[in-house]
Amino acid sequence: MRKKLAVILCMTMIGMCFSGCGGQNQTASAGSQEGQEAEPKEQEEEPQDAEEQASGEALTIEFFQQKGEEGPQKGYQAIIDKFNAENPDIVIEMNTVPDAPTVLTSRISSGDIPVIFSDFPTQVAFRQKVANGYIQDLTGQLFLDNVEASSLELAKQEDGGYYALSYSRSFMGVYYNRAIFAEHGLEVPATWDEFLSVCETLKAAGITPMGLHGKDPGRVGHTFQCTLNAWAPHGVEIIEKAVAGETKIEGNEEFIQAFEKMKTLFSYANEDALALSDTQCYEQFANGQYAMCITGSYARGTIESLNADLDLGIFPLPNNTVETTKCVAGIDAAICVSAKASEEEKEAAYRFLAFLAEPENAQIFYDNDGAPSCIKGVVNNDEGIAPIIEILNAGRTHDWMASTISNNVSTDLYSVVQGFWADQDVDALLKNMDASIAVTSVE
Amino acid sequence: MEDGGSVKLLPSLAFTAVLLQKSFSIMCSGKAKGMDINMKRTSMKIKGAYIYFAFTVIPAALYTFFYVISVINGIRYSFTDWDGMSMEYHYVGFKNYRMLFRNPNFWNSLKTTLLYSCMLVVSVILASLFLAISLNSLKCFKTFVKSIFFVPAMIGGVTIALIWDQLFYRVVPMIGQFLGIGWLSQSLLMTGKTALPAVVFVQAWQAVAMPTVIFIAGLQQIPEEQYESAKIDGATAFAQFWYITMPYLLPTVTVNLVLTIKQGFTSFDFPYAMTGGGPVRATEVIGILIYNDAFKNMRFSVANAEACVLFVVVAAFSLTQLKLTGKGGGRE
Repeated sequence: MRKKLAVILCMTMIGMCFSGCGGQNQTASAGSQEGQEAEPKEQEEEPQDAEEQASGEALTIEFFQQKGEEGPQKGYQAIIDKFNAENPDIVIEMNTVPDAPTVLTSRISSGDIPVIFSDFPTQVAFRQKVANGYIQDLTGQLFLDNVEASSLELAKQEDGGYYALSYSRSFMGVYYNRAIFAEHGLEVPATWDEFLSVCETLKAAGITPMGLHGKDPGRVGHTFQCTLNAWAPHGVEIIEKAVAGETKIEGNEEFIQAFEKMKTLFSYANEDALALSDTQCYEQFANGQYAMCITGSYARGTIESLNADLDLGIFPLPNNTVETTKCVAGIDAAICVSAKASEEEKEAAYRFLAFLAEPENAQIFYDNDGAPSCIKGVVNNDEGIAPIIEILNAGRTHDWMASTISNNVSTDLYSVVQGFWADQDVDALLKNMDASIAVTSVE
Repeated sequence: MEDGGSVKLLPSLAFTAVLLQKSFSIMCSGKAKGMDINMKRTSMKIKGAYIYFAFTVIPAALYTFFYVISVINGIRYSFTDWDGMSMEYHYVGFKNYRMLFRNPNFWNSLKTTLLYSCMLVVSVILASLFLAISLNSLKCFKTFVKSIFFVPAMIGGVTIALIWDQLFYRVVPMIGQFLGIGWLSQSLLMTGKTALPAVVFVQAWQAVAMPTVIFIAGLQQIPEEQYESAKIDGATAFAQFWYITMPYLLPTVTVNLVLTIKQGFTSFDFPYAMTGGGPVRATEVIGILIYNDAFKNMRFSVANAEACVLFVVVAAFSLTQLKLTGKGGGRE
C-alpha cells in the first residue's frame, strides 16, 4: 500500500514538473503574441482553424523577427495575415521576443534554429553563422530579382552567395522638428557651416538645438559612428588599420577634426546627455524640447508613437561640403531561412519570402515601418525623409562598423568615446582609443 | 544565468520532498501502534530509509542535470575557443585565463564588483539592523509598518531600477538644486564618481527588506528577562545592544551576510538596467562583463573563463566569511 502511494506520489511530482514546464511554454508564447494587436490575432486564428479542418494539416512555420518596435511588427503581421489567408497549406507564425539577438544566438547555438528569421547580413556575427552552415544559400531564388542592386550587393557574403532577402535599410541621421524649423525660417542644412548657423539661430531663439543621449554606451557608439562617418570619411578604415597594428589614431588629423566638430556640437546640445537614455531623449525631442536629435532609422516608430502630431524630418549629418558627406547605412531587416530546416519547411519558407518580396507587400511593410525599402517599386511618400533617401540612393554611404570591426573592439571603443562625452578632451580620447585597441585587438 | 530557472525550481522540489517525507513519517508512526513494536520499527526504519532515499533521487537528478552538468560544461568551455555558435571548437588550455589577467577591463570590473559588494553588504546590514530594531520596538501598527518596508522586495529588480532611473533623472536633481548641493543637482548616474554608489543605493533599497525580516525574527527570540535583568544592573541602551542583542543576533547576521554577499557579487539587473555598465565602465560589474562578452562580443569561452574566476572569488569570500562567523552560524 505504502509502496503504491510512494509510486503514485513520485509520478505526480514528475507529472507536475513537466506540466509546470509546459505551462511556462504556453504562457511564453502567449506573452509573445500579446505584443501584437488583438484583432489580427483573432483573424489569424480563425482561418487557421478552418484550414486545419479542411485540409487536415497545415504546415506551421515560425518566423522569428528581431524588431522590438511596434511599427515593423504591425507591418509583418499584416503581410503574414494576408499570406496565411492566401495559402491554406502554410501557417506562418511570427515570434517576437525581448532582446532578440541574444535569444537567436542561444537558439542557434543549441541547434533550435527558427525556420525563417530576420538578421543583419552585413555584420561579422552573420558571417559566422554563414560559415557554420546555419543559413540557407538563397542564390538563384527568383524573388532576389525584386531587391535593389545596391542592397543586394551589401548583403553578399564572402563566398559570393546571397543568404538573406534584404528587406529594409537602416541609417543614422539627424531627426528634426519641421514645425520648429519652419517657425524660424530654417532650411535643411547641407554643409557644416549651414548646420552651425541653424544651431546658432535656434540657440538664440532659446531652443536647445540638439538632443543627444549618452547613458547607454551602445547608443553613444551609434552617434559616434554617425559623426565619424560624416566628418572623417576614412575614420572606420583608420580604425581597421589600427586594429591590424598598422597605424595609430593618436595625432591623426581626420580624427582630431572630427572630434573638434563633436565638441562644437556639444556646445549646442543638452548638457545632461550622459544622463539621458534613448527613450527619454526621444520624448523630449517629440515634445519640442530639442529641435534636432541624432539617432538611427530604428527610432522613427518610437518617436512617432510618442507624439503623433509631430512633423518629422530626417537629414544626413553634414560635413564641410555635400560631396564629402557620408551617411552610415546598412541593411536593417533581412530575412533568412535556416539551412537545418527540412526540405518541406524550406519550400514553404521560400514561398513566404517570395510573397514578402512582392512590391505591394513590401509597400505594406514600408508604410508601417518607415525605414527605406530594399524592394524595387516601393514608393516613399514621406517628404520629410527625402534628404536622407537622397543620400542613400546616391550611394554616399558607409556600412556600420560591425561589418568590418569585431564587436569586441567596437564595444570597448564606445566606452572610451563615452569618456570623451564627459571630459571633452580630444588628445586624451585619441590616446585612449589606441590603448583600447591595443588591448582588444590582441584577443 | 541560464540556470536561474532550475535554481529556483530546486528549492521548491526539495521543499515538496521534505513535506512528503514528513507526512510519510507521520503516517508510518500512526500505523505502527498496536503491532509488534520492535520488529515493525526495525523493518520500518529500513523501508523508511529507502523511501526517503527515493525522494532525494528526483531533486538530485534534476540538480545534476540542470546545474552540475552546466557548471562542468561551463568550466570545460572556458578552456576552448568556442564563439557561442560554431559546430566545432578547439581546446586552447589556459589561453583565455592568461588573456583575462592581462586585460585591464577585467581587473577594473573585478574591482568594481568588489567595491559594489562591499558597499552593498555594509549598507544593507547596517540599514536592516537599524530598521529591524526600530520596527521591533514599535508599539502600534507594527505589522502594517513592517509590510510597508517589505514592499520593495516584492517588486522586480528591473522595475525598481527603471523607476529609480526616472527619479535620478527628474526628481533628485530638483532636490539637489533646491538644497544648493552641486553634485546632487545633476543625474547621479551621469558621472563615474556618483554612478556606482547610486546604483548600490537602489539595490540596497530593495535588498534591505529580506534581512530586516530575518533580523526581526532573530530579535523576537531574545528572552525579555535578559533585558530586564540588565536594566536592573544599570546597563545603558548601548550596553544592552552590545552584550545581549548582538550575541543573540550573530546567527542571523551570518545568514544575512551570506545572502547579501552573494547578491553583491552576482548583481546584474540593477546596474544593467540603470546604466548599462557606464559611464565609461564605472558600473561595469562582472555580471555585465560576462553578459557582454558572451552575447554581444560572441566570446563565450572568455565569458565562461570570467564566470569561473567569479566562482572562485565568491567561493573564497563565502568560505572566509563562514569561517570567521562560524561560531555564530553553528548555534543556529
